[in-house]
Amino acid sequence: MSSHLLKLEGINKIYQDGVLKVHALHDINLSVGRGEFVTIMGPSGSGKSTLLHILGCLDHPTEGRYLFDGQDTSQYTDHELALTRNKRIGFVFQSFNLLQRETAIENVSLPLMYAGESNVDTRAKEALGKVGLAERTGHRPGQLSGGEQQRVAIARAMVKRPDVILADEPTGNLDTAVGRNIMDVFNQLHADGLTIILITHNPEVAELGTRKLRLRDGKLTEDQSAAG
Amino acid sequence: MSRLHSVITFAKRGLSRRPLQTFLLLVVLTVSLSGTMTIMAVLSGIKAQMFRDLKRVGLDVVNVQMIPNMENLLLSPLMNEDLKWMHRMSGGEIAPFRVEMANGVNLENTNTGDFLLLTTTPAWGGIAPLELIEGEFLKPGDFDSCVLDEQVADRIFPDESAVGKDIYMSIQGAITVYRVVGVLKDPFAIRKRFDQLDFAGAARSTINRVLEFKSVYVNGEFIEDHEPVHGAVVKVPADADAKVVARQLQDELNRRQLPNVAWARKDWVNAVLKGADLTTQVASMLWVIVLFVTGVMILTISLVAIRERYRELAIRRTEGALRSQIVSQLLLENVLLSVVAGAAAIGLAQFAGHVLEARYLSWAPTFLPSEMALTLSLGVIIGALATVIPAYRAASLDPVEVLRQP
Repeated sequence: MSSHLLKLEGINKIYQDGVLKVHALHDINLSVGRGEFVTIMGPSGSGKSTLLHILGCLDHPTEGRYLFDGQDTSQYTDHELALTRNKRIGFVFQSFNLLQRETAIENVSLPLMYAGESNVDTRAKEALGKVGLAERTGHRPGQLSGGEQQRVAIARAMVKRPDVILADEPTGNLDTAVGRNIMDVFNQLHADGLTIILITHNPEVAELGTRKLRLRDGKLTEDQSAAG
Repeated sequence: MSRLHSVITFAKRGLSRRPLQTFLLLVVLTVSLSGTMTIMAVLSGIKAQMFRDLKRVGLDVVNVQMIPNMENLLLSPLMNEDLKWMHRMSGGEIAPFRVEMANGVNLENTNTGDFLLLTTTPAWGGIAPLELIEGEFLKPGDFDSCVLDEQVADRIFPDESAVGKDIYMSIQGAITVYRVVGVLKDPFAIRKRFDQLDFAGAARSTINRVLEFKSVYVNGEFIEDHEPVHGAVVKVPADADAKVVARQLQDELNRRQLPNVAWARKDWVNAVLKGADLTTQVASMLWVIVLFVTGVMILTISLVAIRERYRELAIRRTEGALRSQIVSQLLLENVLLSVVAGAAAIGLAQFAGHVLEARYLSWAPTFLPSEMALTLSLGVIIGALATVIPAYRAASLDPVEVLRQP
């Protein structure tokens, strides 16, 4: 097991749109240890989501190395990337990204079923219980409020007991009070020892992290731990 | 829970949670597969019925007939005495015949009909394998009786038994009364419906009607050597080949310069079956077309349906679904659908077969297990092929790009 759970070395990401080149990330060097709660802030287009996608093994960097628990993911096949996402990374998105035709419990059990794991229902119920939705397991996303949908997404992210949860603006579509409730859930997960990386526009939310990063024009301009 | 079990669960959910789309695909598949099965069954039914019919025309019988033209009809160059050498050469029983057009009327209901009057001997009944619907064949010396073919009986006596009834026949201007003693079953059950639809039938050669079993049979005297006859049927002995006998008779007819043809019914049966094979092969292209159209429809529906699911599939990919799991799920959905549609198609095709038989056909559609299995397999394969390309395409999409779309 590596001392750093995630390590980015000289990461560059360039998108080619016809003849136009978009340099989304510039020479990013970053290490995240286990149990950290990292928040990333930055204006729109600063590369936050691109960074999160690379961290989540959803995208490859154009240059540089991304080590996940000491393993260079640039060498991973599509199959290995999918397995890493499935077993070791939990995602929470601003727009929840729940399957609309499936119930809450079915959404939460999704990663477990793809992993071929056992006790799927029990674990999914347990995860929903932890986010306060024990009574809403049979509801479809359309029957749940925004806050409840985000809780289902969090339950889905944590049910597989991942190494890290990556959250992209998880409170962005929620009102302030509901957003606070969601952040309480993240705080609880962090208190339970989970590593969390969270993107936000909201400084108040960013303050909840133990370490704050700031991105501007694809460059890491600030890396501030709560202690520092 | 194993990964395979998961894929099966997802596939079942994929179908049950999209009732409209599933129903639409199910209808397309069921209708197409049942259509294909019905076409196959109708074609197989024709062949089966023809085979049954043709076996009844007498595979050991040789026909000797004059070449049908007006000159031969008037001169009738074949004589009664020719039957003697034919009998010697073939070694079999022989029945001469004369044919002429006649008009018959049933005075009780005034139904009339033109038909072929076939004057022969009672030996005819022992040569051609005749199947009587009622009554009996002509007896020796009974010159006042006649036997009707089924189609003639249906026309003149449509609502009653013909046996025992009188039929008034106008033959070359003279009126003769015959009492019906028997009705022969038409061995070609298959053609009943065809004949009803055959508008050109009236224009066909009357001589050809000898082969079509639309005749009235009466006893005739064939005594004088120089009495003309129009032909004869010969029953070939069990140890002889009808084709060989026909060839020998033809050679002798040629040598004697008689304008007649000798042909084995077996040859005719083979020719008809060969023609039927060709016809059914051409017709069977229909089900190839139906299956092709089905494939195109499924492909189109799959493309649209899977495109509508890009976001869902991207979420699954984000959650760690392998490409193979996505493709397997979509394929399995279509295979499950094909199997259900196949089962429904069997029932629907059977129903369609019954309706067709009852209302339009004079033969029973034959549902061969091999053809049904072929249709079902092709349905599953076409469904799978039509899904695999859009499924693979969907599984290969960048989930980040898809989820970025509003």
